[in-house]
Amino acid sequence: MSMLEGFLYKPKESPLHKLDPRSKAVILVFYTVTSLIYLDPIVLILLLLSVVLLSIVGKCVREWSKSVKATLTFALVIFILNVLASPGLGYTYALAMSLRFLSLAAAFSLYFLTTPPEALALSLEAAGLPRDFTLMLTLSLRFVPTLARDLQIVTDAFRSRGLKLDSGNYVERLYNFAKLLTPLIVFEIRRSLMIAEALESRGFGGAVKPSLYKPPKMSLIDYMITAGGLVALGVIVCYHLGFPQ
Amino acid sequence: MDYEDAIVVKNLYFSYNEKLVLKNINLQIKKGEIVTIMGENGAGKTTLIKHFNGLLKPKKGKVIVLGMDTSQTPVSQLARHVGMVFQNPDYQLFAETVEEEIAMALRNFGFPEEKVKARVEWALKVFELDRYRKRSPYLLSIGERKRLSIASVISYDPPIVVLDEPTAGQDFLQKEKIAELLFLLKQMKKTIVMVTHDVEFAIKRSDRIVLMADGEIIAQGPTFEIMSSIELLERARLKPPQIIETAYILKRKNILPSEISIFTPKDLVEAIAKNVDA
Amino acid sequence: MTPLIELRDVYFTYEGEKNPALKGINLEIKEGEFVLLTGPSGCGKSTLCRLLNGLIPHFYGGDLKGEVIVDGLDVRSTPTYEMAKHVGMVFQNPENQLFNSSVEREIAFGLESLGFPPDEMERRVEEVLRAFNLVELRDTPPYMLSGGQQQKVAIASIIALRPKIIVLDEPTANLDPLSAEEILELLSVLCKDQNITIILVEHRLEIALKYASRLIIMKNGEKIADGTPRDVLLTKEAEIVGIPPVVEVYKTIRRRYRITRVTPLTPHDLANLIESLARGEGNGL
Repeated sequence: MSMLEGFLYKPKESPLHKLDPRSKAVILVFYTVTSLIYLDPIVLILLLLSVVLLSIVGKCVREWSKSVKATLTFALVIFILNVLASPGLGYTYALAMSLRFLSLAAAFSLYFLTTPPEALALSLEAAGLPRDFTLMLTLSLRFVPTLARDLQIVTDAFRSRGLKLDSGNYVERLYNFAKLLTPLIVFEIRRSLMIAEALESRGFGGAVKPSLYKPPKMSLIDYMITAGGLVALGVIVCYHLGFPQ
Repeated sequence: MDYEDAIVVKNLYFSYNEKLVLKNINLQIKKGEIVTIMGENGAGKTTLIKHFNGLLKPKKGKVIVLGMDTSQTPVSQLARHVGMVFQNPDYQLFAETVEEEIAMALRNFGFPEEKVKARVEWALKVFELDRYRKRSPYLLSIGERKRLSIASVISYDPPIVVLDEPTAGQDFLQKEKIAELLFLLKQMKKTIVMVTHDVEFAIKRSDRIVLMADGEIIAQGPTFEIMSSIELLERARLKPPQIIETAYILKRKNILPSEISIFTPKDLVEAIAKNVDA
Repeated sequence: MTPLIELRDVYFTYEGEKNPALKGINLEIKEGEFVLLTGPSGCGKSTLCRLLNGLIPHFYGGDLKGEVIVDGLDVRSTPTYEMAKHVGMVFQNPENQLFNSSVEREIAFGLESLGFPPDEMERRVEEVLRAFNLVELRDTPPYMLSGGQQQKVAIASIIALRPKIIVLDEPTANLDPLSAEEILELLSVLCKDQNITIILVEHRLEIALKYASRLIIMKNGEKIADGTPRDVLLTKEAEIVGIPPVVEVYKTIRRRYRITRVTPLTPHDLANLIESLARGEGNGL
């Protein structure tokens, strides 16, 4: 759960929160491409350090470090697997592989921590993505807390009948857990039907292309960052491919 | 051991996400009583009753159920003594068939198999679910699902039964059936705690009313006493029952004498016969 | 005047079901009526609601017979998104009908879906925010509001589409009495001031009756009573939905004193009636 939290938006006042999701996305693409191109631990550590700096700018070091901590285990697994699977390539390679994973996770976590899902969906829609897609994104995030609350109620009801979730052997626990999920799944399916009904009743799925209420606007800084990010991205890619003569 | 009180709450405080939701709750519920907790949504009613079977533990203060301190007793043990029926039946139906649903808690509490069978039969009959015994709980109507959720708790015979909003979303006929069940439970000497904002239902079925507002108990007393105080009900953001309100207006206009107590439609009709010369 | 809603010999059976959910419904509703629709669970009232904005048959499928004309449109040949401009639907559970991260976006949602131009959208959103007293909550996420406020936002977001009809399927079932009353009061104002036709499904007659101009009772897919609340409540059919205490008292004293008055729907009505009896104003009809 704590890992998921590291990817959920936390409303705060910071320069990073203020940026348009699109300009931030350019930077994210830059990080992704760079960490995928370079398998050099030094470059990857530099990338990681810059994400640390950005998380300070974004005032979310605490939440961010939570997700990084959670991914550390995975990074370790990647390291060991690489050492075992390809012993010929050495420890540096294994280290670079796990650093790559770590810096990617760190960058994405920071992106989602500082970007309201709806702003992201809106800017995707403004960028031309169909509403079906962006709505799916907003709805799935919108109903996370509702689902968590439903799970709590079902668990309460289950325990109120004297049933235990945390005792017995694994088979018993698994069995109990499956029982607990029954009402939850039935209920969520019903809920999704109710949501679909409500959507249709509000004109969703019509013949015309949906318009946008208060479409997101890029600021001057957003444009500068986008431009800067695109240039940096171009330089990195060209450098990697070898500059054309 | 025998205790006179079913539930005793002493100086209970509870907070959630650093917000105080229950403040200094003091409450005594005697065995065999029907107590109704009323108040608007968010007043803390559900939070309070979740303390009665230990789902929530006091942050400060004590909750004693049949002599057991809930903070020292696991839910699985308290559940044997306190049956809890939640508002929405759909969150509490776990089994594949109606009869398994009723048998579930019985088996869990280790009742011998012949006893399980007998209790299931009894519950199927009393709750009028007999013909659906092999059906999936989810194929029942909303009223039947509600009855099943109550049946699967009553079946294991807990001395205390707690019902959260038993009438919410139920039609008139279902409400009548639930009222009959309450009467039956009363005959069986059960202690009943009910949460509702349905004043017309509460006035007919409760021995005592507890009014809550903003996490506090603002008044408690015999049903008639609380229900007659329009000012108290207003503080709890409740509307007075229709008959009480009518009588209140008529008394204020000196059409009915203020000392007679009018509670039911019958009381009002009699009062009219005596005092209004038509 | 042609009726706003017209149902003729309507039968509807859900897919995979044997028994029809609606059996031979004939119904005419005029513009500006406030219709209270009630009946035991499973009587077909929710089905009827969904028929009025085309969720039936477009969303649910099933077998529909008879004629359903709403605001001049045949629901069978009009898609639900088109019906949305004429009929607004409000459901029981507010949280399942609020999807956006702010109240103002929630109100704009339907307008967006129907492709309204931005300036028109902004005008309508502002108008609705002001009319519903939601200006201060415009940036608040709807799921953080109380149940009563959520239902208010749900209604507001439908009003933005300026429908002639609002259909509400047990909108107050999860609300406490005063919040429920606020919502019903709001609907009553919409009905009176803007001549919006209201069709309200509700079990608790005692809180809803006083707003209704018409009461319809259904049972097993059929309409069993239809008329003014004051008349319908005195019929035998009304007994299956529970007679409110004030009406119960009236029925007794009516018999006892052989009087005929307008049926009281609220404690105030009843108190006035008893007061006039006390003043010796025998049969006032």
